[in-house]
This record gives sequence, C-alpha cells and structure tokens, in this order.
Amino acid sequence: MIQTIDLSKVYTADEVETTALNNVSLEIKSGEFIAIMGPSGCGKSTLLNILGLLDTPSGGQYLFDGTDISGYSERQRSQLRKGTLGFVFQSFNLIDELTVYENVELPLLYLGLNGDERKARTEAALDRVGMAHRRKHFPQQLSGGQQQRVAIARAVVASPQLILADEPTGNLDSQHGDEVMKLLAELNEAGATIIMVTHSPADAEFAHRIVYLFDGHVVSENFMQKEYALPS
Amino acid sequence: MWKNYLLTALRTLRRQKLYGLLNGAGLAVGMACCLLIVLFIVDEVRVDRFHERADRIVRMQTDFVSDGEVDQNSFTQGILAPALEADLPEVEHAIRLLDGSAVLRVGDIRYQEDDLMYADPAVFDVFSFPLNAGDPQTALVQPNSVVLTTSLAQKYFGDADPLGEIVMDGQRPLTVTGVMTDVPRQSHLQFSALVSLNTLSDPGWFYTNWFSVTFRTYALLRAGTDLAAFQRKLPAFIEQRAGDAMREQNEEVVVLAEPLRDVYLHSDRGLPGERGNLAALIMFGAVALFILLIACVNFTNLATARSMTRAKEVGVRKTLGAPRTSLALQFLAEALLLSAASMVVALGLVQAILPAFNRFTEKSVALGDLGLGLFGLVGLVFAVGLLAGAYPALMLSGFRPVEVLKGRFSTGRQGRALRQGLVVVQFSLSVALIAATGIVFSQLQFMQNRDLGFALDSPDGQLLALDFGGDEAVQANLGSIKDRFLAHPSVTGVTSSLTVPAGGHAEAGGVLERQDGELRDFGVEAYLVDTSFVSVYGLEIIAGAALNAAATSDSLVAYVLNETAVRKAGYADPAAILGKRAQFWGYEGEVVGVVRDFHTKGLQEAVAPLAIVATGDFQQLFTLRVRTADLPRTLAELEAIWAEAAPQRPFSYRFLDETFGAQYASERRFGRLFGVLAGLAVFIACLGLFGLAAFSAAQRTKEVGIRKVLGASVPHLVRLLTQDVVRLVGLAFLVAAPLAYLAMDRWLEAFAYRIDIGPTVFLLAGALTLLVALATVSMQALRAATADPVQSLRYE
Repeated sequence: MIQTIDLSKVYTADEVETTALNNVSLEIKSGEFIAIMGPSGCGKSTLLNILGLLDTPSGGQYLFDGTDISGYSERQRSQLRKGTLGFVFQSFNLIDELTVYENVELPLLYLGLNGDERKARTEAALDRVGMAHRRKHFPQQLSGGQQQRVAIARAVVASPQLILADEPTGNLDSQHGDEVMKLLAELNEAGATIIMVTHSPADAEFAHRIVYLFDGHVVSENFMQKEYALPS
Repeated sequence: MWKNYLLTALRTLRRQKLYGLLNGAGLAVGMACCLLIVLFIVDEVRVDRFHERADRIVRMQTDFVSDGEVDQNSFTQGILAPALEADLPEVEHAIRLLDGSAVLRVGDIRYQEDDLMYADPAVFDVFSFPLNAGDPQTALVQPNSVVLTTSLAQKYFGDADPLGEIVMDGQRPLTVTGVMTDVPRQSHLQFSALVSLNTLSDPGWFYTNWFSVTFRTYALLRAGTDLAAFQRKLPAFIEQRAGDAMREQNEEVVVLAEPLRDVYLHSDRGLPGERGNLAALIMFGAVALFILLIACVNFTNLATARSMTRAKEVGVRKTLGAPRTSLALQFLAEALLLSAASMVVALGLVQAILPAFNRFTEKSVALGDLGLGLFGLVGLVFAVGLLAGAYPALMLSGFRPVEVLKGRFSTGRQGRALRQGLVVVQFSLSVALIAATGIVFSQLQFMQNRDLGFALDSPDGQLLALDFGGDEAVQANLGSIKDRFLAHPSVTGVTSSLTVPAGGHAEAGGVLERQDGELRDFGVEAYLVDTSFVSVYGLEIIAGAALNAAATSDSLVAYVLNETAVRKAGYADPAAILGKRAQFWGYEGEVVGVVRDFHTKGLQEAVAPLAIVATGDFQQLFTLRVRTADLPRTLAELEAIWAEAAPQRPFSYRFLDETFGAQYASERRFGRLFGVLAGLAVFIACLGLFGLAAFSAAQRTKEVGIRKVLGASVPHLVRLLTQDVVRLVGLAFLVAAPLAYLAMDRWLEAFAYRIDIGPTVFLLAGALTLLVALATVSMQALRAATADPVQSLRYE
C-alpha cells in the first residue's frame, strides 16, 4: 500500500541544516499495524507527517498505492487526504467551538456527503467509540480519554484506508490509554491500516511490526513474533 | 457546510467576547458615522433635483468685459428673458425673478417679509412648485397678485381660506391668487411668497437696458435640446440684440447658461441663492471613508493578532481535507457576519442620533433618504466585510497544519509589521483630524479677535442696526428721528446709511481723479451715509477730515475713501488724494478724507476699495451705539421711541457683533463637525489599540515573567510594554503633520485674512493622541507587569 524509497527530509533554518530523515525506505502493506519508535528528535513525527501528506519530503520517493506522490501540490495532497487518511493526535486537536457530533461530522462535510448519509455515518462512528451519548457536549466538557475517543471517531468516520496516530496515548493516563489502544486494535482488526508513532513499548506491543528510528535512519524493524490477539 | 461556518463563527464570538465587542463597536460606530455623512452628502447633492423638469432648466448669467477685466454676475437684465423666449426656439419659457422685501399688513398686523420674490407668470411652468389653491396658469398674470406659501398663508390667515384675501404692501393692495406648498429645503431658491412681476412699475431701465443686472433669469429648454449647442448660440443672440449698444458703451456683454443641477454645488458664482460647499462635501466624504477604514483596520489587526487562537482549528480542518479556499471563505464569512451585525447596530445608532444631527447640520434628513435601499446597505456590509476580513482570511487559511498542530508556530509574529503599519495609518488619520480641528478653531478665533478697523464694542456701547427698509416717511425725517434716539441716555451715537458691515453691500462704478489729473474708471463698494457715520463707527481718519457739514460745499458731496481705494488709485501718500475729484452713482464731489481700512465683510474676503459718500440719500438703516447696561429696558424704551417716530415700521434690529459673528457660522459648524469626527476616529483607533495591547500583554506573559524573576521593576516593565505605542504614535505624527499641514493650508487659502500654521497645533495633536493611546495600553501593561511571575511561568 505504501512504499518509501530513500525518503529524506532536511530542514533549513538560518543557514543551519538539520537532517530529520535520512534515506528511509519502508514498505507497509494494507491491513498492517505499524508502530514507529525512537528517542525524541529521531524523526518519527516527521516521517508520520510525510506519510500523512501533511509535509513533503526533500528527497526520495513516496509511493501510495503504486503512485509516486512525493511531488504532489498542497491541493493534490489535500484532495488525497480527504477520505483516504484519518488522523489521531497526541493532543486530540478537536475544534473547541464545535460539539462532539459536529467534530466527527466535519470530514464528511469536506467530502461533500449529503445530510442523511452524514448523520448515519457520524452516529455509527460515535457508537463505535462509545461516545454517542455525549454527542452534544463540547470538547472541554470531556475527559482526555473521551476526547481521544471522539478524535478516533473523527479519524474513522470517512472510512479511510489508512489511520495515522501520533502518540495517541501520550496525554492519557494508563487506563484511558489502554482503552484507546484497544479501540485502534479493533479498527485494525476490521481492516484499517494503522501507522502509529509512540514512546510507549506497551502501546507498541499492539502493533504487528515496530520500526525503530535513530537520527533519521531506520535502525531496525522488529516483527512481532506472536499474532496479535485481543487480550482477555 | 455554511451552517458549520456560521456555528463556528457564532461560538468563536461568544467565547471571545471582548474581541467581538471591540471589533463590533468599532465597525458599528464607523458605519454609523459613514451613514450620517452619506445622508448629508446625498441631501446636498439632491438640491434642486425635485423639479420635474430639472434637467431642462438653466440659470442665465451675465458677464461684463471691459479693458480685459471680467465682471461675473449671476444676476441678469430684465430684457433677457423676453428676448430669449422671442429669439431662440429652444427656449420653451424664460422667467425673471426679483428679490424683494416689504412690510406687509394683514388687517392691523404688520409683518416684515424679507424673502419675497417678484416673478413672471410662467414661473410655475418652469419650476415644480405645486399650488394647493389657485390656478398656476393665471395666478401671477394680473398686477398686484400674490401667491403665498402654505406657512405664510397659515401665519396670515390661520385656517381660513386665503384665496381672494387682501394683503397690503404699503398703500398697494395685493390679492392672494394662490397658495403653494412651502419651498422644499432642497432648493437653492428660497422665498415665502411670489408677487406678480408686473406689480412693480418700471423705473425705465428694468426691461430695456443691457448693462444693468437686477433679475434672476431661468429658462426651460424644450425637451431634446442639446445644452452645448444652445450655449454656442448665445454669442450670436446677444450680438444681434445688443451689438450696437456694446460698441457704444465699449463694454462686452456675455450671456451664459448654467444647468440648474450645477447651480448649488458647482457654480463658481456666489449669489444669488443658497450655495453648497463641494470642497467640504468631498472632505467629509474622505473623512467618512477614513473612519470606516480605521474600523476595518481594527478588525484586520485584531484578527491577525489573535490568529494563534484559530491556528489549531485551521490545522485540524486542513488535516481533514479542507482546501484553502474553503477555509478562506469560512473566515471571510465570519468577517461578513460581524459586518452585518455591526450594520444593524449602526442603523440603530443613526436613527438615535438623527434628531441631534439634523439640529446640528440644520437639515431634516431621515434614514429613508439614503437612497441606496437594502441593496446599498448589503453592498456596504460586503465591502466592509471584505476589506476587513480579506487579509486575515488569506493569512489564516495559509497556515501549514504540520506547524500549527505541532505548536512550532511563532505566534503573533505573523503580520506584525503589517499590524504596526496599520496602527500607524490609524493614528496618522487621528492626529491629522485633531490638528485640522485645532486649525479650524484657531482660524475662527483669529477672525473673531481681529481688529475690524471699527469698534463693534467700545466704552460707549455696542452697535445696533435698525432696519427701516428705505421707508420714505422715515427717510424724510432722518434728522428728527436721530435726535429722538440721541435723547435717550443710553444712546451715545446715531447715524444712518444705505448698508452696514456684514449686512450686504452695494457696488458702484464711477470715476476718480488720478495723479496725472485725469478722471478714470474706478469701482468701489459704496457707503451712502450721513455725516456722523465715521464718528459713530469709530473709523480712524489717517488723512484729511471726517465728514461733517463744513467739509462740503453746496455743489459737491464729500467723499471719504479707504486706504485700499487710495492705494489702488495709485496714490502712495493718502494725503495726496485730498481735494481730488470723484464721481460715483452720479454724485459729483471731492475727496475730503482717508480712513484706515475696515472690514465690511467676513475675513474670508479681502477689504475692497470703498467710498463713503455723505449724501444722506437712499438710507436703509439707522446704526445706534447703545450702552449695554440694563439692555432689555433700553431696548424696550427704544422700541417705544420707534413706535412713535415710525408707527408704520416694525422695530427690526440686530447687534452688529452678532451679524458679524454669524458670517462664520459655516466655519464654526465645519469645525465642530470635524471635532466630532476626530474624536470618533481616535475612539475607534483606541478600541483597536486596546485589543492589540491586551493581546500583546497576554503574549508576552512569559517574557515578563522571566524578566521579573531576573529582577525587572514594574515601571521598567510598563515602559517595555508601552514603548511600542510611543514609537508608533511618533511615526504617525511624522506622517500626519505634513499631510494635515498641506490640506489645511489649502483650506485656509479661502480666507483673505488667515493664521499661519505653526508647529504648536501639530505638537498638541500628537501629544493628545499619544496621551490617549498610552492611557489605553497602560492599564494592560500594568496588569501584565504586576502579575505573579509563577503564574506566567508555570506553563511550558
């Protein structure tokens, strides 16, 4: 589904060049659950942003379903993001002025779906994350774990092929973090491809494969030995 | 999708109340101000447009050209209208109007009417002055007919039917043949009644002479007439009619036709009739736009300054696939929403202010006069929304999600230079408006305090003019009436004259002896007076003698000239002109004295050559110098003396200092309006500054916290937080001062006697603006500086 060939990213600020990614080559298959790990500043988030089409690489190729999209314009990337990708952030990034329901509905609005379909899909997504009863609340009225569940509902509401999660449990206590991870695992079970950046080895355990980054390089890929099964 | 935008906008506003309030209040006040000025301008532009045939009406004018000098008039010859109608097929009707005043008597009650007009019968065919009673075709055909305006008819006859009633003009009975609706305010012609022109007996030169201009002439051109072509035919017309007379008189007569729609605002000629001030209208229009601009700048500034509060939202929406255009539209929609809400408030404000506004401007405009209708208002809402919201929309929608969502976003740096530039623009306008107001009032004060060359007020009392309208019975008894007044202990002097300062003037052509002994043409402002005029007015004799009976021989009248006349006649030494011959209006005489220049008109106009002629003929007014102690009693007693001396005349008096001051009424109004607008501009600019200061203080909390921990004192921190404002206002001052100087220097050019603009007024304006601006920001700065540093450093 995704293949990167010698992907690199260099930031230039005031004549100082910082290499965030250095010749990263990865292949991710449809239905996989990948965890990206590594110390702070190793380039995890940069990689996730490029894979999520929020950022562009400085060099190398990025093939999405076989098409090289590394040279796509912002407009093209935005077009591709819409409905294909779903995002989950560490800080949830819900829009404070919109209710739970309206936040989840937002991607469908940008997809241009009609009202009935939006309603059906939004309700289904809220049900799936167990937040339907809070649909009229504003984000500030929810706990962190609840907010992240809403964010996940928003990420999946448009049935994207790929879900990108950037430290989804980083701002949550362990109990809420666990709930969120289980939710992601369920989504993966149901067929979604997931790429997740995390610091937490426990979270990484949920993945099929762990990619370790260090100073912009892929230093190892660790396939989980056991098939993932729902913990009892 | 729009519902989503709307919800976000409403909820954002609700959450950021201060921000919404500052923006909304600024926009609403700016719009209200703009609407009022638009109402004012629309009202001025509409003058004379109410006539159904306004597009086909022209006002005729006459110029006299001799020796290369052009004498422009808007008055015309009595013969012009009939000649136009007879000679030029384009002319459907041509009518004459003659200004008049009279004491009218209804029953036993006398009324002084100064706004009468004598008119040709076709006046109702040319102008749209509808009659409520009477037949417009015949109302003014017969001599001694009068058409009253509704309010005059009401005044004379109450609710009774006035048709056929008699109004006495002296010994002449006038029959009321019609009642017309009052002349609309939006008319350069203003009168209270029309009397048939043929009521007046022709003194001989009214209807034949091409060189005497007394009448106003208006012509109704036939539909489809090309005005330019008509104007081109006029020289041939006048040549055929008056060619021989012009050559004989060695003076060229030029007849011109000016479209009615240009008369009020565009005519380069003063009298007759009400005149508008196009330059002032343009200035007000510009100021209205400035103020709206200042309000829009507030929006732009606050929106961009607060961009970080919206950055996350932009990031999220973009991540979810929102294209930039959709986001830009969303933010524009918010600006439009605020603009629309402000418009609603502005309309309410205008409605509330209108009564005061109408009193102030002496108009009676209503919101309905806007003429734009709903469409125009919606247009204004869009214009303001786009102007204010375009840049923020562009900037906000341009955020890159990676940066804003990662917090790697340098908040507030975005567009800082632009914001500061806009603040400079706002305060430049404020400083300029304040300085302009100051200059207008300095000039007013200068005019009011200037030595007029005669004593309006002296230890012997004030000058009071008593108008007797040239009444023949009074004229015949000038001496005895003067003596009666002089017998009153509070009256220290009495004189009579044809005109008084600030009370109209008479131009006279004639001849004056030059140094080479030749008599040559000379034009003066003529003061026909009695011999005590110079002493009662307190004019200063600089050569020769004042007028007195001894100074004149039997056959010659005594002339006293002013300095300007002497200089213009070519005499360097005033004494050299004494004994020279002079003849104006047929009075042969010699110059017996020269007076220091004195002002007969407002200081807008230069002192003109003037001749005081002690004939005692054609007197119109008494001037009394009256002690002002116990004035009400004195006035009552003077009225009693007058009632006995001239029972046929009303006691119609005015104090000359008031009439002189009244000449500056329009300048005073202009100054006051400018003052209000300057205040509003500063107010709106400060609303924005307050918002920016609050934002910047919040933004710099961390910096302030660190500085405090390192030992910075509160005054030091306040200085740190306010120094930007000092810098910006300073910059604004540098921009505003030269611009205001240039604009106001041009305004002052309209005054013959004017102040020189010094630096003080600009420094004061700058200081005032700085003070207000500092007061606005220092509260925020103080709060930030005194906050507990632990609070500010706890985050991050």
